[in-house]
Amino acid sequence: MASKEHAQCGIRTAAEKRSPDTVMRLARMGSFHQTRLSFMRALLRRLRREQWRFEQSRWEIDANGVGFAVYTAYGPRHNYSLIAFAHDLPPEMRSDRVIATAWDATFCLFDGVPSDADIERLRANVPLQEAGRISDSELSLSRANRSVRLWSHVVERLAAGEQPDIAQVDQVGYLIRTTAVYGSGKFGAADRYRIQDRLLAGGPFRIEMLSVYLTRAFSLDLVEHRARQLGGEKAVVIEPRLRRRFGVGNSTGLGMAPFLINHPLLLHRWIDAKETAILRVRSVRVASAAEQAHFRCLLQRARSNVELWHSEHPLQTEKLRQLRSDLRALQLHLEDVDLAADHAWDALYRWAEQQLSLEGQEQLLALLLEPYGALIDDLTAHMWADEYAAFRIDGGERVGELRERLECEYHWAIAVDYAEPNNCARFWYVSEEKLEPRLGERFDEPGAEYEQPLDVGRAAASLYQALSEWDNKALLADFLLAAPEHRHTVRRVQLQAKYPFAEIRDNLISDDMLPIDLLRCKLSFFGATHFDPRSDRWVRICMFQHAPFPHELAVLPDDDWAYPPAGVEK
Amino acid sequence: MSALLSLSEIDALGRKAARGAGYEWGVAEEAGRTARWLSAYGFQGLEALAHWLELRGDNMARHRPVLQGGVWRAGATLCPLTAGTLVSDREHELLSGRGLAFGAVQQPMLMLSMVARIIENRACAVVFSIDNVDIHCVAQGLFFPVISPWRRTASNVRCVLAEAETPPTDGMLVPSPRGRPVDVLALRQLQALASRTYAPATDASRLAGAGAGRSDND
Repeated sequence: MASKEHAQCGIRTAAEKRSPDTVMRLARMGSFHQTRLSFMRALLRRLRREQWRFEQSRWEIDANGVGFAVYTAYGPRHNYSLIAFAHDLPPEMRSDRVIATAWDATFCLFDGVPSDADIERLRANVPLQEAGRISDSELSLSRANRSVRLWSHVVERLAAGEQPDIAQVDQVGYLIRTTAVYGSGKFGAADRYRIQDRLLAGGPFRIEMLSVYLTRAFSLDLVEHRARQLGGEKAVVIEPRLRRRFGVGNSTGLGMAPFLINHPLLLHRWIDAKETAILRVRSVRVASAAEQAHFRCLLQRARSNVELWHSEHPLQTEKLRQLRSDLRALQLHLEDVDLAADHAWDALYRWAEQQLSLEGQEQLLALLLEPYGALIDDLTAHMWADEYAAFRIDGGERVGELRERLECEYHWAIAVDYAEPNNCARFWYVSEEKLEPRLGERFDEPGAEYEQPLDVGRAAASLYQALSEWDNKALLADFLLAAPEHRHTVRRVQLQAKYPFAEIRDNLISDDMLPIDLLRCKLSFFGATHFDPRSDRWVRICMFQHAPFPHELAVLPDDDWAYPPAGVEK
Repeated sequence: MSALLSLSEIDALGRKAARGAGYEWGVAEEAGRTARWLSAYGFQGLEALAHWLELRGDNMARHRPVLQGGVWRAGATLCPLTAGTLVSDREHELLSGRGLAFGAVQQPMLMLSMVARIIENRACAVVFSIDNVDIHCVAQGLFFPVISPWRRTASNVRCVLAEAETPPTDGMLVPSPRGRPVDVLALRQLQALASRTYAPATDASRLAGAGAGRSDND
């Protein structure tokens, strides 16, 4: 924020970040795209810059495709190993849902290089996933299922000495999709605080992204291994350019949705970094010819990316239609504007605000950041957070001050009538069966007494009401002693005052809330592409598609993979 | 018998168990962070929490602090979580030189993290006294005069701003991010309390709660 007054009153000039009232809305967050700051891209830039070396150090997979493999990444200070267990899974057991109990492959990321004893210990636990235990030596736990159709196609083609059909590859985009990647302290794994001081691993979700990156390499090696087993000498490997068209899929459901609400400081840091990057680029006075050309080239690649982005979900189908139309309009508009003019990027975004859908606006912003690595990539160092540092409540604040904060920054919450059934139609709960977050219908299902504190807007309105019965000069310390039920929300409101992007400014229990908007926001920061909602509460995505494989990282151009390469058409 | 838990598992279990025992979410969050903080310093944070939650019963009002003659007391022994948040919320009193005094407190160590965190980013120290055993808290760690300051019950607890930042003894205790062994009996007790926060599954919620079921063999 350029100034608090401006932030609070929603006034924006060219020299300011977009306001939280603009950015922190579910409809916009559900239209976010990956950017240069996304974690996958930041990870690969660092791996390349630091000249990490990769090795498939073990390959003990039998003729049926069952066994294990180890991939080790050797860095300047630390080494990490993906231990991959390949299983023979009957089709009837294959499910992406968290309720599954068996998978095609299971993984953990090991801190260092595992010994045989480590592998034996992990072989007894990693395939069990949530039902097993891992230790301080492990940094993540994950599993994946095959895309059955594409897997079979690729194996058959390669075994016959032929390349896979490009249309079939593009239709799916990956051979396997991860269905959960657990990090930080889950199921006994090392706590994030154990690695937070490490340059690579200390960043947000770097460990999880490294695990998925190596998982992608494993999936391609495994499919080629299977083809060799079936085709013998006749079998071929996938041609490198086509091989890079395979990413890793991911299915993400409600389990991830509350994360952004439960990590408000982290959410602020992510959004603030992105909005700072946008502000820096919109503040560029004159774009160089090279920067203009870079942008125009990426726009073409973004257009081919949208052609390769498939979804059958009506909401996303419509958003994709709009996005295609937006990018066409942008292309036409570029014929009329002079990108060498003063503040051309800012003018372009202001045009987009008036002319394009949210999908189009957010795609444009992602493209505007592309030519400016030198100007903005440093921001990736500010996207982590210690939630503990913002945990304490300032009990010395006066009731009147908190009331003012609520009026100014929670206006979206306190203006809502929560007695209306549609404004409180849902409740978030944790299921006893899988210990995972779920969403219930308050008026149709039992269980509302188990509600989790994710009803942020309603709780803020309730706090506002309670404060009105207190003297404005009273101390919050006294209020909280008498009304501990508001402690959770007071903490949020005070945090939001310091970190304006900490709060999602929408009703998270209304009947029209879409959990996939929360998922897309988070996954866009990971660097995901091709969001494909399968319902209003889970989504499939693609990760690392077109990225160099570990052995190609040093020789291919730096960070040039997030959009399909020029010339790749449907 | 003990089981190894990561600090984030300790935090989550402490929070859920406190909620399951009847605390409001905001206080339950403090319970989780407290258990985690104590565990990081090598103390039995979850065991202390389990003991307190077992002891306290359902009548919360009996353990709520009321100021009587300059000392915070309750009808029964004080709830350490409420007393701890009280100190944390009144840091302005503490930092202005006024001490805070409490009558009898159960598991007073559960207050420690909330006291110690007050000076985490400050160049000063706080003395937390349990029955006249002083624990010195500075920004980077803790100093103890005796090997184990643990008391299940204290008849009085005090917090005061220390006169000097210089600690009284050598041997500062610092936190570790490693996982900690947790007593299995305490673990089971807390898990039982935590399970009160989970909604039993129904066939409808299994499908609808996480999104429609579709075949994944594609």
